[in-house]
Amino acid sequence: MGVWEIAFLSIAYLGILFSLAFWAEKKKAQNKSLINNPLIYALSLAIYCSAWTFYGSVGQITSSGLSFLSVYLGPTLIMILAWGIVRKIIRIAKIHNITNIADFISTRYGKDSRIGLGVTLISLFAGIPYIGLQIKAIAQSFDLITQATPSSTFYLDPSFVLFIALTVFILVLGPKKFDSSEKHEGMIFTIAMESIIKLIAFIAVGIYISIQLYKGWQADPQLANIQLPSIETNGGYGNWFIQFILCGVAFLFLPRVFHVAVVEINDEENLKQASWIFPLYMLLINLFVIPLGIAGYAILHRGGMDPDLYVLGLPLHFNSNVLAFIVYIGGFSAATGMVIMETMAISSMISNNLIMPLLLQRKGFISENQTNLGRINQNIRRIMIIFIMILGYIHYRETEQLVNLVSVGMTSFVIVAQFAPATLLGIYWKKASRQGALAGIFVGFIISAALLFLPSLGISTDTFRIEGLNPISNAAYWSISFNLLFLYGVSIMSEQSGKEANQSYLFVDVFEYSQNVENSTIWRGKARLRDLKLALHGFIGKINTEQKIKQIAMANNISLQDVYADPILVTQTEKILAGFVGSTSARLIISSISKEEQIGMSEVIRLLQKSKDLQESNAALVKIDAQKNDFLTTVTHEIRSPITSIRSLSEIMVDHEDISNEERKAFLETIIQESDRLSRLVNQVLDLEKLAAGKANFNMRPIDLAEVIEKAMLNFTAIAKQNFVQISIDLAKKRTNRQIEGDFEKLVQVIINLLSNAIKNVEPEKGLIQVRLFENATHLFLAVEDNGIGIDPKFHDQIFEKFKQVDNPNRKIESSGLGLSISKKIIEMHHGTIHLESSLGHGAKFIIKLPIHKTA
Amino acid sequence: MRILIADDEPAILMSLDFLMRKEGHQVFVARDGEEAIQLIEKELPEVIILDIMMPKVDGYGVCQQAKMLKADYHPAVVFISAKIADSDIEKGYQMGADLYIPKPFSNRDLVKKVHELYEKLKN
Repeated sequence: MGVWEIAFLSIAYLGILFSLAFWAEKKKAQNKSLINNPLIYALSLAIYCSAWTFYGSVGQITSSGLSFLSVYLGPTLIMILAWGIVRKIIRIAKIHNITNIADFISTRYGKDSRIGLGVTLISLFAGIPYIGLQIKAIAQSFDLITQATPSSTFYLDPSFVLFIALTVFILVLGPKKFDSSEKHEGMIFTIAMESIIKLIAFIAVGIYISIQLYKGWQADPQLANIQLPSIETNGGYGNWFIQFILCGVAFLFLPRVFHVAVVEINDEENLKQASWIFPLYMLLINLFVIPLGIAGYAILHRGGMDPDLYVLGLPLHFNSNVLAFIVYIGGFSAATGMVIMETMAISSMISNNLIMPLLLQRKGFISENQTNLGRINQNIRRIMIIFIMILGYIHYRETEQLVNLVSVGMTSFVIVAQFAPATLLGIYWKKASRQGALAGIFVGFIISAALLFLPSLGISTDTFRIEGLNPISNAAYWSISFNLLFLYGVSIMSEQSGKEANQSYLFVDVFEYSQNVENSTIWRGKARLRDLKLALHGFIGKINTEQKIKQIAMANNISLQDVYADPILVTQTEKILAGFVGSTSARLIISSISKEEQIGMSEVIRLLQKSKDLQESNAALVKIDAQKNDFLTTVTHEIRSPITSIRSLSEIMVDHEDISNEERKAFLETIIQESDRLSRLVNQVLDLEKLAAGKANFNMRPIDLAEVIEKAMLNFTAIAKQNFVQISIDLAKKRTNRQIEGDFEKLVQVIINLLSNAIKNVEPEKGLIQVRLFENATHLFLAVEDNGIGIDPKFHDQIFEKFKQVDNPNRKIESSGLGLSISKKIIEMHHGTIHLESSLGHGAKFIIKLPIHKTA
Repeated sequence: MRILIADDEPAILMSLDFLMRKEGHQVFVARDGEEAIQLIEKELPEVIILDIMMPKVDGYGVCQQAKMLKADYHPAVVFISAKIADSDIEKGYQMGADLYIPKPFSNRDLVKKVHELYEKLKN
């Protein structure tokens, strides 16, 4: 296929991606996010699969057998564990508005600018060859498919035009000025689309070649005897295991993966599904590596083709141009996706941790450029993207023939893995200190760089070579071990500063404090509101600044009238700025406009604890308040009825002196009855409150339940007669020697409550109430049964609640609605239960169950 | 005038019955909603005084049935209730009450308002 044809199609493909990104941004503006779902999130994570995966796996299988699998199983393991580890990192990053791995580590260790800078430089160091590698993959596949000869003058090289197009693409989609800091909806969407394209392309060529391979075997059985190197021939399981762990830890700390996994995630919940979708993706994209490797080795090995190009070479060999083009686009997707995200992530690190701090520390810089900082930041990032791209391109041009895809990738992994100890220990171990982190990262980096690069300069490192390990595993083993050792050793020997200790608590206990950290302030100092606003203008614009400040003030109940801003406002402003320029630079900007006072560790914890406690007790209070309100409304309502009668009848007697004596007497009796009702109600409310507060006095002693019933009946026989209700008492076990331990008077009260309840429920003259006492080995039972209207089972649960009166025709003779809830409380204080058996029309039966007194 | 009073509180019924009879009205009393509806259908009182929370049929139900009983029957309905929140009162008027008097009330006040209402509706 022609050079310009392919170049044009490649750029057109970038154009399509660009319109997809534009579309996604537009959807986002309409609040219809395309990327806030587990599938797109998992697909964007597949940015891990760069050109190294797409072309390199097949290359690797021909040289070192199945060891390529460790590259995929490591991240699979991490994603399966994601809900623990990755979610914690995501939560921390969200709370502190952290947007890259350098900010993450430096924020953990007291916002130390040296750590941030170190991580940035190491990422750059590891990233450049990796980016160069992708450019190489693009160029080589381009040359192979077009059969073009690479020119020694770079600007005459046809693939150079792709490099320029890609750079422009990143610049247009990348750094934004006025946006919610580091969210790139469009970019993530295109990354996910590219992940689909590369998967489809790889599976398509895999199926096609497998069929060809099968046909070949049928034609020539000899082909089936081709041997590929296995794990054992290449260092055995030691290598395999170390690489497995290495790829797992490095996965998350690759700047591009950290960015999509942690910074761009919209909802933690997406992790749950992604923890199986992503491993599935890894499985699918590796499915055809072996057949492709075997076929490539059988067909193209003799022709001397670079094994890294077998994937594209095979369809070309079979003259399948369409398939070859699909493969080319798949590889192009894999490479461009990686380059886009990696340059974005590294450029933001360089800007946040190197350039911006340098500029901000220059005298007068902030005050001169106050409202321009956002634009300056954006431009620095653009320049850095161009700078990184050029470095990557130079790396590719200078080392073109020297390295294969996998070795460069693995080298980067070993270096990036040096961030793992400081990060992972940092989020689980509070003692991990800044000194320890600095020492660990530094020592780990030096060892890995020495073991990886000295041999290529002709200096032997064989003395440190563990037998059976290849150079990559060997370097990983030594560097990570020493990194851990130094981190641990220096941490336990060094003292943390207050600021560091603060951060360690905020990181390790993030789930405990997260809500409070977001809303609280651990900062004390003075900054003028005007200065804060000016600092924000430069990043989010004047209108957004005013809105944002108002929002924060409203949410936290802060006054905006004072000249000096509330500390919460200062903290929140710093957090917003951190999203744009990183924690180091944000701290510099804030400290340039404010005077800070240090707060000690214990005070921070106290503040956090306080706000947490307050939050909890507040929630409890709100609930209690609602219950109290309900209760009060009902009580006042219940009180109103007797008061109404008393007032009305009294007024009649005042206004009408001519009423008869009988009438006067009837009225006065009613007034007395209603007054009794009122005082009974008040007493019951007080009783209930006492019981609820646990303040009621219980005079516990061994008692005979039969005596309790007799005492209750003493008060009740007259009332029953008055209401023409018959009461039958069956105390078959009347003279049982079984006793219970209880408060005699309170139990009498319970039985009176149940009896009055029963009287209300039966019809006069037909009413029959049965009281029975029986027992089993451990408990005495007391049942009060009536033949009244009964209670619908759907109300049984409510009936013991305060003031729950189930409508029935005869209700409310003397009911306050509190009797049953008081009875229930009293029985519960006796370690007993009370329940109701009833249905509509079949009477009601209350059964009390009380434990038998042990010594009796 | 002919007046029906319905309340499940016997004491309140007792006092209102006395009061209205002293004012020279013909009084019918009911202790629940069902009884109230039966009496309304039979006696067609000009004024109906209703408690809201009554057994069997509540005051709202009685009010609606009374208002829809006959095309040429337009009784004045007065709610007397211990429900005194603004929202309760509003609901009372929505359910068709002509007057809503919260408990506890003053007798004189009640009598005066019922009279005013009756005069207003008669004209």
